[in-house]
Amino acid sequence: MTWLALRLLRPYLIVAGSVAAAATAYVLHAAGVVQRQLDRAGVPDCRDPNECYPSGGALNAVLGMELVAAFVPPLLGLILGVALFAREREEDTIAFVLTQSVPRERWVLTKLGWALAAGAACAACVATAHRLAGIRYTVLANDTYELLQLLHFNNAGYMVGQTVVLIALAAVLGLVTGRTLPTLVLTVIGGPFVVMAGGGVAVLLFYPLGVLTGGTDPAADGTAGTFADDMTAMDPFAYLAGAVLGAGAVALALLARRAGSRASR
Amino acid sequence: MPAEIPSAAVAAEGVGHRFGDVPALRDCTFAVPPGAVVALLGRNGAGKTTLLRAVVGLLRPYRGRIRVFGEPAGAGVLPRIGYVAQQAPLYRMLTVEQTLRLGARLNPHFDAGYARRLVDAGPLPVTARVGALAAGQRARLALAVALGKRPDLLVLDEPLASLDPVARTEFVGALMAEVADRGTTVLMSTHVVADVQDVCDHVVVLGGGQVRLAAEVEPALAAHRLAVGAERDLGALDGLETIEVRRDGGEFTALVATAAPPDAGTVTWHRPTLEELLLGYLRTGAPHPSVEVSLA
Repeated sequence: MTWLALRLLRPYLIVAGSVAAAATAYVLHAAGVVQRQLDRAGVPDCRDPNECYPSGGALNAVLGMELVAAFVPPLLGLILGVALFAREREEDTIAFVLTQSVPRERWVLTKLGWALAAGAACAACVATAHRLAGIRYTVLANDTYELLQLLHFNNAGYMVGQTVVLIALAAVLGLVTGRTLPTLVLTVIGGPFVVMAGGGVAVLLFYPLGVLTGGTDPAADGTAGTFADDMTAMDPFAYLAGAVLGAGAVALALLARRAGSRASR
Repeated sequence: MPAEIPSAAVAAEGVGHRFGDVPALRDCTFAVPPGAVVALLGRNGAGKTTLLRAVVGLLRPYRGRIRVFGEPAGAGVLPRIGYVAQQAPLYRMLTVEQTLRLGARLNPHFDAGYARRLVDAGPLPVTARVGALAAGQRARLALAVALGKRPDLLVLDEPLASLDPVARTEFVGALMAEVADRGTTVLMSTHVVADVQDVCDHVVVLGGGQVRLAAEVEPALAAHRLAVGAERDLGALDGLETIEVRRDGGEFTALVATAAPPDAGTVTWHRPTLEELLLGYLRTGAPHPSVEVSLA
């Protein structure tokens, strides 16, 4: 079952992996470009746009990092999610696999589980690179690219969550519509709403808890109002969301195994 | 009235389904005895594929119920069912060898040796990708995977449609060998009447989503007569259950559900061929009022 799921996902995994690798490499490269400009200006540790606002190639690098953070996670979700079940229904291979002796729940959960795990891993690479290597430089142009930042909130958990939510949404739409193109269109249109709704609920649920468990509340501590807020404000949520997603992926894998053994009795 | 067969391989009771506002199946009731080879006939859009997908549990009908070997259609009985869907959909990127291995992985009781023999008898190139196979070869591979499950019920959706005459003969040969060896029940849809001849011992005719005839072939032929005569003699059919009447140049030909036609008049009566019987039911607009099922 796992063999088949991975075999069917292989082309999409290769594309998603390549996109994630390229995006990660670009973020690291772009961070280097900005740092070199800061070094040349003699302010290597500057994080205040009023003192060291990037220019020329460095500003383009910041824009590139913002674009990567904003659009690569959803792109990964589309790559791995849209064809997951839509293509199976389109080509009717689902009629083959769902009429074998293996329980259907197991098939759906296995395929979805691997896609989610792969999507989360790819997005995590990009998001981690962005968080650890990119944000310290994108903060220098916060005001310029404010709209783009609204798409990722400088938050690794949110970025991984975007990928995961879009994969799940596309999988469901693929199962329902059975057509690749409508699944793609509906996911692109509906995805942002679902991501925003999911993100909003998650923040409401977890952010106060994050504060209680030692996270930074920008409104309450002494650092409020500094540019560093944008870098760390959502970190507690990111850690919690990452933990929840990780636990969810493990639970899904276990559930698939249990569903299989239960139904085959 | 539908006969209740407790041990039926497949029993459909009042099955109805619709796609949006379009009804696909309406009050379908029939039963398939174990060991029977049943042809499910109907014109394009008659509901054959919908009914077969309901039998294998790919589709849950809005109304009625389908039982397979006494259990509700669905995951519980899938290990006992071999299914080949229309166009024999298989994963195109896998090779023939990988497809057989996949069959073994997905079915605990898969008879890999038997499936391999069927493939070799094709002969199918085991290293070829499924996407590179001709439609007939793909159908044969799909049948090999389905038969490798060693199913008690084989459900085939238009399996012969894409096959050339030689491949068709070989396919039917493999099918009949399976039936002879293991007494497998076969439910096979087609809209080609010639496919039914020499292969099936039962027929179910669907029209407009309804079952128009469900019967064993020989008793069904014995219970019908074809009447031919001048149009002015149509009165001879009064009181008889007429399935279909066709008029042509002052003459009529009628398919009548009677084993003992009246003697009087100039109308000539003869026992219909299977093709005449099935075409009569396929052409008619109204459902046959009496849906009979007989045990094999």
